[in-house]
Amino acid sequence: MEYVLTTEGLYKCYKNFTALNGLSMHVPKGSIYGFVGRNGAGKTTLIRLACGLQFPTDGDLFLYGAKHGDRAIHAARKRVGAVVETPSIFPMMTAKDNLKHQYRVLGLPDFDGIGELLELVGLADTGDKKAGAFSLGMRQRLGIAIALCGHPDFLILDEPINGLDPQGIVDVRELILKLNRERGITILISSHILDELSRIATHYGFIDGGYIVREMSAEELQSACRKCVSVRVSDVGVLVRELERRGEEYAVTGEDSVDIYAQPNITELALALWKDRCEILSCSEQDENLESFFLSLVGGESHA
Amino acid sequence: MRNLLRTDFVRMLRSKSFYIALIGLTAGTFFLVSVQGTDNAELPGLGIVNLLCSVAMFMVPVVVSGAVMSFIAAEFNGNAIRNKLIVGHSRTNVFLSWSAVSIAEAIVVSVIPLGLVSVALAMFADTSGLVAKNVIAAAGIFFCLLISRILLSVLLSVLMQGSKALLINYILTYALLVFFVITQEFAGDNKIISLLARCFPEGQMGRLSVDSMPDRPGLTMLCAVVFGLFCAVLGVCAFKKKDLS
Repeated sequence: MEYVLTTEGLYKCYKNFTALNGLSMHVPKGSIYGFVGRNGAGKTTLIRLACGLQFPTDGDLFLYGAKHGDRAIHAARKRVGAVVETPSIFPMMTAKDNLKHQYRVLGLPDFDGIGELLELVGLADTGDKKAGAFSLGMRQRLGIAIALCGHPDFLILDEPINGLDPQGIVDVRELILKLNRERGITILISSHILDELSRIATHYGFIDGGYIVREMSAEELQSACRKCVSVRVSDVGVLVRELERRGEEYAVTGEDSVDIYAQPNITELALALWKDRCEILSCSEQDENLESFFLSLVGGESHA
Repeated sequence: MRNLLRTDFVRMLRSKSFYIALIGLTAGTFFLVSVQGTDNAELPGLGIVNLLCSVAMFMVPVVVSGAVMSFIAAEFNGNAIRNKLIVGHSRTNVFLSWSAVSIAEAIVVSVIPLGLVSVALAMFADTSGLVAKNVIAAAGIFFCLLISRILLSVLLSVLMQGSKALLINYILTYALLVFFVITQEFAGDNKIISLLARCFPEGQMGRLSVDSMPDRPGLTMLCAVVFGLFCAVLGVCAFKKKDLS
């Protein structure tokens, strides 16, 4: 698999505080990588390092194969757009002037596409209003528009839906999906709103205490989070034979327990098992979502 | 680098601080010179030119460094500096671009008012006593000191990251003025202090005139250039190590 961003044993220390503690992560090309972690877990620190705003204390960071510290990383960064925490804008400029400024920074030959970008983020009718007078949501949209200048291949969004109203959240979600599907842009997105993240992410990285606890694809997460009926029986072999006969999907999770990924008729199942003298000892429904999965990974003392 | 220069020049030409500095300095210089010329009817043209030297050594660096620092502070205040680094511009290039644009701003903002007043003096005052080489030496010293002061301002802007650099700049100006006045009075012969005075415009206030050839102008220019380069190198090194939020 080709990776856009890779880190190996990344450390970042501030005086007596270790923000990143041997973090290793892999952002696959073409993915929407959901970066999940509680406050202070190190999400924004990793994003700052990836954007070149800060430098690692130790470890390696590769962007499009270019290692941090090498001259080639500057060329690799030309393919990146990012919104880190608060949007980076000139408050005294209009939305259009902010985009023109970024076009000049990128050395683009003309200002074609600025209208389209403003339209895309819903700021086309802001006219001469200065960015400093924008609402938080409008600034966030402007930040995204600036990040999209120059058609980046890799977009880094740190809490992009902070401050957005419900319609704004839907708009940004659709925008992210559109950019990923239509333009093939790889997106690294950190968010506390796990439900929102679960609607768009194709891959996840769970961070806690400055390192990645687990990386997985959306399919793997779905498999780990899907609804199942957990059954304890006196003879697992009998239950497995019965489930095979019925064509049900299942997983043997212990000496006497099986997870059944279906909604079986328990009475029918119990009668079928009793023919072979197999008893159902207990039966419970398991339902895990991204939030509970995250809490089970990092411990539930704090909120995500 | 070319993109950064283009971007910064466009922003500088559209910034309010640039025009405030330009208009303020032009008005201030004309005001001072006209007040002095009216109050002292006997003040010869040469005396007014010397007054112009004092204006140049005090007012211009203070006003121009303020304008330069607010220009750079705007990038830090709105975190717009991030946008340059995220897309791959090196910190060295960002620093050099700021320095180049700041020096250009300083030269434009100082040359226009001083030039206009000089033209007015040439037309309406008796400047026959002016010696060309003295004027050239004074101008050379002024521009070297101005550039070194601007590089110091860029360094301070990078270290302080924001508007607080402006406050530090004014405190520094005042401290330097007081320091050089006191040391000139009590330790005028000290070689280290003499060398230091050649590095700052404040150190040359009252010493620069066109009546005679300034004291060792080559050494003063060299000190200013070396100090300016030192500030630039220090600025690049500090910026390359600085963690940005």
